[in-house]
This record gives sequence, C-alpha cells and structure tokens, in this order.
Amino acid sequence: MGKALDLFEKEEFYKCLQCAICTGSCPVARVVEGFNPREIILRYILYGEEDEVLGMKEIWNCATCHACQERCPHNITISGLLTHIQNLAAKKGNLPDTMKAAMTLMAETGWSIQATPRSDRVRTELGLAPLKRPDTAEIRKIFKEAGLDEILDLK
Amino acid sequence: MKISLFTGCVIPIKYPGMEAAMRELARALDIELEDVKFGCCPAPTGLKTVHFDAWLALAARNLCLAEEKNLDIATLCSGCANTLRETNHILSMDEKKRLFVHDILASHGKEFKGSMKILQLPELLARNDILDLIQKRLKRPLTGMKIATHYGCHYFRPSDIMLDEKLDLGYSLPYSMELIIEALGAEPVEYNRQDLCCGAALGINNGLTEESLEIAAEKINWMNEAEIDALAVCCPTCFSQFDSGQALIKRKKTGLRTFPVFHIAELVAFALGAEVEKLNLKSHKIPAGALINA
Repeated sequence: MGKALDLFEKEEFYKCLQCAICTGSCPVARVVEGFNPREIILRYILYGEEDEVLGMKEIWNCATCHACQERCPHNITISGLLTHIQNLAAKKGNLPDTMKAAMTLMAETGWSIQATPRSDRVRTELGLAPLKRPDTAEIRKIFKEAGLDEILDLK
Repeated sequence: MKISLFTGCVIPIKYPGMEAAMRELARALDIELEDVKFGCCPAPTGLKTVHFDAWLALAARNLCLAEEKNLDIATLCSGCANTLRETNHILSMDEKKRLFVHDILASHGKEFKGSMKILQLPELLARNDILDLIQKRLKRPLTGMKIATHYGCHYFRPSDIMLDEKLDLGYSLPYSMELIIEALGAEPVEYNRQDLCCGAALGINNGLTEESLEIAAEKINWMNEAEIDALAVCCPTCFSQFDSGQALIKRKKTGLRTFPVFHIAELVAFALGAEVEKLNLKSHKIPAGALINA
C-alpha cells in the first residue's frame, strides 16, 4: 500500500539499553504518574505487548517535546515511536475526546481553534482584515484521500 | 524582501495583536508580506499524533500554496514552523511519502517541488542586514531590560531539522532571539533549564491542565531566580502557557513574582515605534507594566 508509517525502524530499538535517559529527560514523566517512555519501549518493542500499549490512555500524554530523542545516547527516534503508537491507537479507537473534538473542528473550519465573533471584532479594532476561512471543502477531501476517515467521520 | 506570512490559527484568532505587531515590524523593516489562504499547519502536537499521513498531506498543501507564488514562508509559531519544515524535509528525503502526497495534491492541481525555505521569525530578524536595520531604526530602545527567552520545543527539536545551521550550530539552544534582544538595546538573560518544555500540549490534548501548569511553574521558578524583567517567546501556545499560566498559578501561590511575557514580534514592533494601541498589549494577562507603558 505504501502507506506504512516510516516513523521508526523496529531494529533501531533493539539498541535500547533501557538506560532511562529518555524518562529522566521527559518533562511529563515528572508530573504524570504512569507515563514512562523507557517502559513504553520495553513493553511495545522488547516484550511485544503491542495490544496492551495501544490501549493505554497514558500514551496521549506525550507533549512531543522530543527531549527523549535528543538525549538518547543511541539516537533512537523515540518520538517517532510515540507518534507511531498514537496513530495506531487512534485507529483502534483509543483517542481522547479532546483530540477527537480538535480534529473535527479542523475538518470543519480548517483551523485548530474556534474563531469567535470577538476575534473579528478585535481584528477590526486593530486595523486588521477579517479572518479569511481556508478552503475547507478541499481540506476535507485531502483528509479523506490521506485516510483520516479511518478515524473521523468526514461526511 | 517579499515573503508569505504564515500566521497559523492561534495568532489571528486568539492573539491578533501579535499579527498586527508582525505587520508593523515588517513595514518598519521594508519586508513585504504576502497573505496566502493557508489552512492549519497542522499542529505537530495534534493531527500528527493522530494521523501522520493526513498531517503530512495538509502541510504539503500549505507549502504548495506558497510555492505557487515563488515565495519563502515566515512563521510566527514554533509549531507551524516545525510542521512545515519537517514536511519539507520528509518530502525531500522520502520517495514513498513524496509519491503518496503527490498523488493526493495532483488531483487538486497542486505539486510540491520543495523550492521554498521556511523561516521562523527570529531566524529572519537575526540576519545581519536586518539586525543592522533594526538598530538603525530603533525608536524606543529597551535599555536596561533583562529579557529571557523561551523558544518552544518545536523551534529547535528535532535539532537536525529545526536548528538554523548558520545561526545555531555549536549551541545547544538557539541564539537568534538573544541577538534580536541585544539589537533592541536590552540584555539577554540565561537561566537554568532553558531548554525545558512549556507543558502546554498536556493540557490541550489530554485535559491535564494542572500537570501542564506544574511543568510551566518549574520553568517560571527558574526564570524568577534569574530575576528577569520580561520573557520573550516566539510561539502563541508557549505565550499562553506562561502568560495565562502565571495568572493561574498565582491564584494558588499568591506570593508568586510575575513578569510580563511578549511575543518577539511585539517587542520588535514596540521598539521600532509602532503605535502601542495597535499591539493590543492590554490582552495580556500579566500587564506589560511600567516597562512598556501600554
């Protein structure tokens, strides 16, 4: 199909020493119990607990700051693995409501946050042109052709 | 110089004052801005994590829109820059992905060629000729202000894609905003854990607002330890996390020392003499204060 996610290579992760620099560098691991990049690598790749990891709510806590990957002594693409896991999890229905709502909004408006009448009022006060809505019909088609309808009802 | 302005979604909708600042500084520095009807970048913290291919295709569409006009792109948000630059990188390096995206965009009359550059605002302003021009046209020097920077993770990571080879090589952190701050007459300040994330994604994506503010609070403490007068950012999401964040943290921690936060475009536009009302600094939760009399 040519649609595989080339975000990471499994073999690369066999180099993982479980040294935990990733978890030590992770700002989220410090404040959210149960989020642990080292453990995700261990369970998903080395123990083969794929289904269990894809079902974990915690995978959505990654802030995508890439600190883990930057500091990994073996240059393993850890953020790539996280994105790969999140993508597969979303297909299986493991997607937080907040994320689902944000994706729906983007398909409907072409923007990631909701524009309000206030936005245009302030823009006018500041001498800025009113917001120009992107071509949402084209964006929805592109989403569909890229396969987003696997996750979202794009109508 | 003519460049297409990629405002992203958050700035024009939530912080239009930053867009106004960008237009003011462009006018003052003879940079011509072209408005293109871009869509959402889309966010590296959002759609990319949910559906990589849809993220890549929409980002490639944005790149094509600028390319049709033969223009480079200037971004005001670290997330937008990250998405656009990484997409440019992937499509230039990965044959399979390029063909996948090519097929989709071709049916909409678009073709990605990869001829454009994506410049983050600080990179653009930190060019030698622009720094000279800033110093020459300075109307309100920020003399005596101690200003720290927060670039936002996506500004400089992954470092092999995001760091500017001319400006930033050899530093573990970018240096472009420090150069701009110096040109404005202020003093750039270093602080501990300067590379730490603002934590915003945690609140936005998964509703963990408290935990996300815990990350911001740690960084705010380090900034306060360095006794900064103000913080400069180049991302509206980081801005919100530090500006609204300080206000929220102060509700529980009443003794908290606070400092105003500025998008670098606001500081530059102000220093170049822009009409202060046009920058909408009154929308900041932490008042711009005596430093900038808004």
